Amino acid sequence: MSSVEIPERVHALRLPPKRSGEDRLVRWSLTGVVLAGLLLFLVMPITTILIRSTETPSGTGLANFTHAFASARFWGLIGNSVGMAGLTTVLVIVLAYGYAYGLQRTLVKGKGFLRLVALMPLFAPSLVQGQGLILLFGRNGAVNRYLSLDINIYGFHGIVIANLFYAFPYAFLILSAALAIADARPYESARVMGASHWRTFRTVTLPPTLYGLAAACFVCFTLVLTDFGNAMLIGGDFNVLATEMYNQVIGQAQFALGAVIGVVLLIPAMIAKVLEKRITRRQTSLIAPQSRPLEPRPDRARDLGFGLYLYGFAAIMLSIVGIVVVTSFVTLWPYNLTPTFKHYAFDFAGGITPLWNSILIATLTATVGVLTAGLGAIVVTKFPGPTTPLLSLLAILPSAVPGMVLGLGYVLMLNDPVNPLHMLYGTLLSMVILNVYYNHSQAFLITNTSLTQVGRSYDEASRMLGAGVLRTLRKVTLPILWPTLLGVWVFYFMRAMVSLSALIFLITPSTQIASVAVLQLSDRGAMNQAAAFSVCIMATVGACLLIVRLILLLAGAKDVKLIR
Amino acid sequence: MKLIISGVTKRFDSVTALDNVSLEIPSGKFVCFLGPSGCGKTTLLRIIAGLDEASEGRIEVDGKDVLSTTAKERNFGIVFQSYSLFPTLTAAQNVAYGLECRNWKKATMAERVAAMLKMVHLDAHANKLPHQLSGGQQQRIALARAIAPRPSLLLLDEPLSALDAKVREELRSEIKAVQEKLGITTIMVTHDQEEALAMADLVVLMRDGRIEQAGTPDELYERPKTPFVAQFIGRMNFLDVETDEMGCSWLGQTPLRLRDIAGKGPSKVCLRPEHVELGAAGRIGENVVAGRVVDISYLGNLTRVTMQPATGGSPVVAELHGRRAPVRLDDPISMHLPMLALRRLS
Repeated sequence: MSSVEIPERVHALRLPPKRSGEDRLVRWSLTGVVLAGLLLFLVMPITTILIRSTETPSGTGLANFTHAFASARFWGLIGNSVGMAGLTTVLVIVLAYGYAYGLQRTLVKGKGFLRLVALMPLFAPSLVQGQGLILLFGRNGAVNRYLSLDINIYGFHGIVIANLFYAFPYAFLILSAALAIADARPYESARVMGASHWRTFRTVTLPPTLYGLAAACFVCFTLVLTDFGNAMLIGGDFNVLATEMYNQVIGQAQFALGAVIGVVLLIPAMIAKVLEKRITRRQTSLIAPQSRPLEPRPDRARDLGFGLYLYGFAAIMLSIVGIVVVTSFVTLWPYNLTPTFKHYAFDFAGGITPLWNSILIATLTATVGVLTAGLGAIVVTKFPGPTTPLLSLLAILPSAVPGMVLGLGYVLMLNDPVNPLHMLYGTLLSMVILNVYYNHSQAFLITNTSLTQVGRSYDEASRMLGAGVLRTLRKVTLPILWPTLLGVWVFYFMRAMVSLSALIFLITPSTQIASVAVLQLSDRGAMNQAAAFSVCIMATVGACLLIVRLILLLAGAKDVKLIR
Repeated sequence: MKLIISGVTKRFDSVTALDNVSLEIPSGKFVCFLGPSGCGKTTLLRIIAGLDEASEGRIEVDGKDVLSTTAKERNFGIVFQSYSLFPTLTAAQNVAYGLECRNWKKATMAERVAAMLKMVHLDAHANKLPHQLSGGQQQRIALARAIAPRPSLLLLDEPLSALDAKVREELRSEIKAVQEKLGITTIMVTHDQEEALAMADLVVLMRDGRIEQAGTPDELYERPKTPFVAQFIGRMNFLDVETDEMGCSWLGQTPLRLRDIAGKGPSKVCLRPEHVELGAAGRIGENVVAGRVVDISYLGNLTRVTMQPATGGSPVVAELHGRRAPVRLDDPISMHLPMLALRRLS
């Protein structure tokens, strides 16, 4: 021991007269704020849809539903939607499984690039696939024009192909995660026992990824079933529920019928979510502590085959987006290919304002979203109490609510002059709030996982040293958590920049946004300017990703995933 | 500071983690809660710390009930197994943390932090972040951090379990030295009996949520009250002994003289292996048992020889210190079981 004099003996214990009131005040007020937000901006709009769908001229009842279901046209729409979503899902899952397998289990070169291409649709406006397909295969598309063909891309096939690329990254992320971790030992056993490649795949590779496969199916089905942008753009005369809902509400102000379709879309989404949760919960940990991670072994034939597939598919995905970029820089696609910047002048009514609105909304969404989701996660993990189960349920409820349905709920709730929230009607703020709560589940789960990983012992150490809840948050939790929160910021920013279907109902002439401008310009036939808008959105998201990645690298935080 | 625990019970749903535990922690002593995992030792520590709540019972500090106070108000210091240094704060900032919470003045705080870092010999590492320090260094910073705000009680939750054997031993004596220098009442939880014997003034051996035996290391080692205690602390021979109506006890066919008298019937007698004396095959005498070597474990500084008595009964283990014992497997030998070392268990 050192010879330092330590001037102390045991000290008398001083007990303050009562428990710390500050902590309780903080707990209850924060819990109250989080709960109020979820009730007002999530539960209320959904409830509004349910109520409006049962409102008939002759009082409350199911007349709207019986009326809708009595028409053959409505059944036709359901058939269209389900058939389109079903076929798309099957195709996406097969293609994405192969793609994810190629990236996780082979030695193909350029995996970083391939991964980025697969995720590209996430930072493009959600109708860019339709846009690209029209530019390639549409009436005035490059293929029909230069090869003198007469391909008709509009309709069922167009929607399926466009949505396939739209949903691809979501399926890819889930399947990629399912294939990422594997125990090398069963593979070695299979090889030693002389199993063929196909047999090894069927008996060793496939079974542990079945849960991921099922989850990916549900996610893609819901996503495609309720997507609006591509169906609107490339659907032609082929109507689906999502476009019908838009036409009823915006075109004919048939709010009750819109609400009925909303409920019809909400139910399968909810069921899919519940099934997905069930299935993933049943997945027990497949990785034992003693397992060794699987390293792909060299195999030239396999790598060549997968290389062809991966690069081929990546080329198609790139060309769809690439054609949009090219179009934005030529005079008149596909007739006059003289390079020009004139489409970036945005010299038409409204001009570039929608882009600035989008950036403003995305920035506000990201900032408010981080606070909301972060606060929600903190309240749920750090302040367990009687409201915790309700809060965690509400926090992940948005993942079961299609964006269009929530958007409809907002418009029904806000345009009611009796509702005190009516003052938000037609404001950018209402779109910000919608974005925040529409994407709440994922943001909440990301933060929650991070908070759980931070571990209880820091909190306990801090408490034992005499810190209150707020000091612990400020001095210990937030300094550890900020890279994750920045990741959540980016997630929100990206989603707000590219999303269309959630916001479509809240658009007013004074609150235009970029993704809707793409739709309207395309509709009007201004394909070059629409492309320029799409490029601006992608460039904004790309720049945001780069800047944040740079900040994280400079701060030494390398493990934060930015693309979700 | 005197800590009195009375009738503390902790139930998790259907499991009773602590069952009516009562204990007095004398002021200024080093107390170890020892026991296998799941015995309730950590639960008891966490209840004392205020991190968990007791289902029933009372904990008094100098006559005042503390169960209704928060962890913050108890002014106890704690060191966790997982170090739990705040990863974004430097060593010095970690040590200062508790002082900031108590609104210490800047100057006195700096002084105190420097003294604490010096106490754990890490003054040169004041500005390092936890991940730049080794496990042992991190745990010493955690100790400094816990002691800095002058807690009235120091709680150590398996502080050495995550460390390498060598570092563990170093830190063991360092913690003990700090504790003695400060005279701070300390409770340490451990599952390592050697650690408990080496460090504690008082060992509380727990099992299934109850206190099996509490006493000085000496008492627990020399006078275990139950087979569990005898077995948990050190190694022990358990011999099945039969007592006849004359009061004579027998190990198989060999008569055994015991200190404690018992009535007719079977009983268990225990004996530390280091008290057994190895002898030549033909040796005769009181409490000498003949047999054959059935197992030899050579452990460097000692050798463990297991003998099966020729006249039947349980095998006996002898521990021989020093050089390798001159016996081989299956050799005929004898063992002397000294009467004074034999204890009959109730």
